[in-house]
Amino acid sequence: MAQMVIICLLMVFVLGIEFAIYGVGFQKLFRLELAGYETVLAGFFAYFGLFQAAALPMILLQRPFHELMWLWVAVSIALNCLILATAKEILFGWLRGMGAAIRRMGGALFFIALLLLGFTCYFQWAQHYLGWDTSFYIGTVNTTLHTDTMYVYDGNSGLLASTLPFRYALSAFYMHSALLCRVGGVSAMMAQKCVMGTICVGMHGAILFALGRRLFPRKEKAALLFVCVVLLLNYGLNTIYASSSFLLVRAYEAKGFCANVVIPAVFYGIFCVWADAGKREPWYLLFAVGFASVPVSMSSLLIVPVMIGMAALVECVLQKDWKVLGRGVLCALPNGAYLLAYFLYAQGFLRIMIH
Amino acid sequence: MYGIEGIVQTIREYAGESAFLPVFFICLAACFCSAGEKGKKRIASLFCLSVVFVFNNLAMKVLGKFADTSTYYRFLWAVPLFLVIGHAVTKAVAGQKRLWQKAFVAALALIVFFGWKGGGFFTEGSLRVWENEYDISGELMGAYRLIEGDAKEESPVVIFDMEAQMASRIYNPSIRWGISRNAYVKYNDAEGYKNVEKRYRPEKALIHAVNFGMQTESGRLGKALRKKKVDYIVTFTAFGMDAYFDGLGYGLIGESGSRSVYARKG
Repeated sequence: MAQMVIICLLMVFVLGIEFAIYGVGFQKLFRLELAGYETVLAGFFAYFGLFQAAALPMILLQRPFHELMWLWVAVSIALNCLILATAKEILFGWLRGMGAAIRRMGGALFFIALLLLGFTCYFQWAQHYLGWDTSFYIGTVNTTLHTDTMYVYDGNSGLLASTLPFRYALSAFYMHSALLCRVGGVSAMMAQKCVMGTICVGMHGAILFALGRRLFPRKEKAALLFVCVVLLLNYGLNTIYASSSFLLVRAYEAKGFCANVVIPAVFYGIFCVWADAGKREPWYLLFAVGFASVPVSMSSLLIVPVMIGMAALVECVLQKDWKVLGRGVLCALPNGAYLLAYFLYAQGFLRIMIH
Repeated sequence: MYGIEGIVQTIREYAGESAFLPVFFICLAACFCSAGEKGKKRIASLFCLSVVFVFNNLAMKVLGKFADTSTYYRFLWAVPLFLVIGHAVTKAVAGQKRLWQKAFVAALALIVFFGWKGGGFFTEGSLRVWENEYDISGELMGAYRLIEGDAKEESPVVIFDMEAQMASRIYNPSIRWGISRNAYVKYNDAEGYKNVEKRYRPEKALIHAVNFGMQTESGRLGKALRKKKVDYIVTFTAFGMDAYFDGLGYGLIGESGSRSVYARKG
């Protein structure tokens, strides 16, 4: 068990590095100037967006899971090499910047914030919540590994499905978890709770810090305090629907990522647009969030485009600039495509039979 | 759950009896008052748009076209409850000059949120250590292992009491459920069959036996067991079902804690 915990922590560390590398790649590709924490955020969404781009066709074509695994390993290695070869100055600059920021902020508040984040990771891990959703999600990961298929068997019952369930199959999030299980040799429960749960809490912390920097410009300590305060507030609201439940108990579920990573990231993007709608960076960030919102969680399907659309509409009217609305629509476009596919599925027009 | 009552009910369930919702509106009002002209317009416009596009009956009906209306509560995640309150608290704390003043304001804020009825996450036993890598109790693992050791089929069909069913495929994905999630969610009670959809009636009989220990409908249960091709039964030993299941062709193969496992004979 201890050995598996170490493997899980190692996977969290590797995924963190991957997010940074993908973030640097994103920055290089679109020639953006992002802050250190923004690079990690962009990297998280770029990583899951690209994973979905590799996984979705294979899910729809009902290819075996091991083919997706090898494809992603190959794509990942190629992308890592490419980014390291072409953007190593940005990566080293990012590393130097992060080191300097840690040295600059390294007071008591910084360590309290880190401690709180660490405790929250442990807290969500230590909760024993067993519901039908737990059974379904962990069951889906286990079924994928056991049958070497993707969404062909029902994750709950283990019975063969008649059609591909678009409600779940349009997001490759749990296939990524299955990949972690295969690579790390850990159980699905450990991959979800110890790896993905920790990532969810960590990313939530990073976004809170980014929001804090935006809400309290030039006050790093206030941003750290903001992280501590919001994390503590989460412990006070315990209801089944609250986003805090999906942070402290069910962080490992895709829904947890939607409530605590995707939606706060949309807020961050909107705040950046408010600060300067003419800059490219906020729109690219918002696009990355929109692009990867469904891959991370199907719950984002409708919420994210509604949020982006409303914010863009308000900004368009205030700035009297139609371009703003156009950019907002572009950011919501990926969700629009998923929404259309899901709507056609829900109405019975689009069905993929299991062969 | 269509209608404005449904939305109010969802909001109530979201915030519980905590102080969060009223405090959120107070903080939002404070934020609005202290914002610049553009900020005021943004807050007011977004508030109005969210009422027009999201928090109304029509939006709920539109959602019903796409998905289950029971997922409507997820829109409440887009209400920046913690962010707005967190911003106000941070501003209040950071605004104090002396350390003791900062600590006092922070403590006051925490008392408001944690001291209010409704409760937080810290309860007795909320922090515990996993028993195993599946985070499943040893008792349930024992029951699953009995099936694993006995099974001749690659994917045996098993019916369980509800808790054992939920955890079963977390441990062993080769197991197939004899009772569906829908059947358990809709008909997990000891009531009769009057209001049960026809297709769920066999599963209802199975639920009666394994989750309620009812021994009064052997004919119906026998048919359901055959229809679902059940290989194994897991239920509570306290129900005393040995003779009953034996009569239906299922013999006891072992016990694990408070649970008994039965296998189809022959």
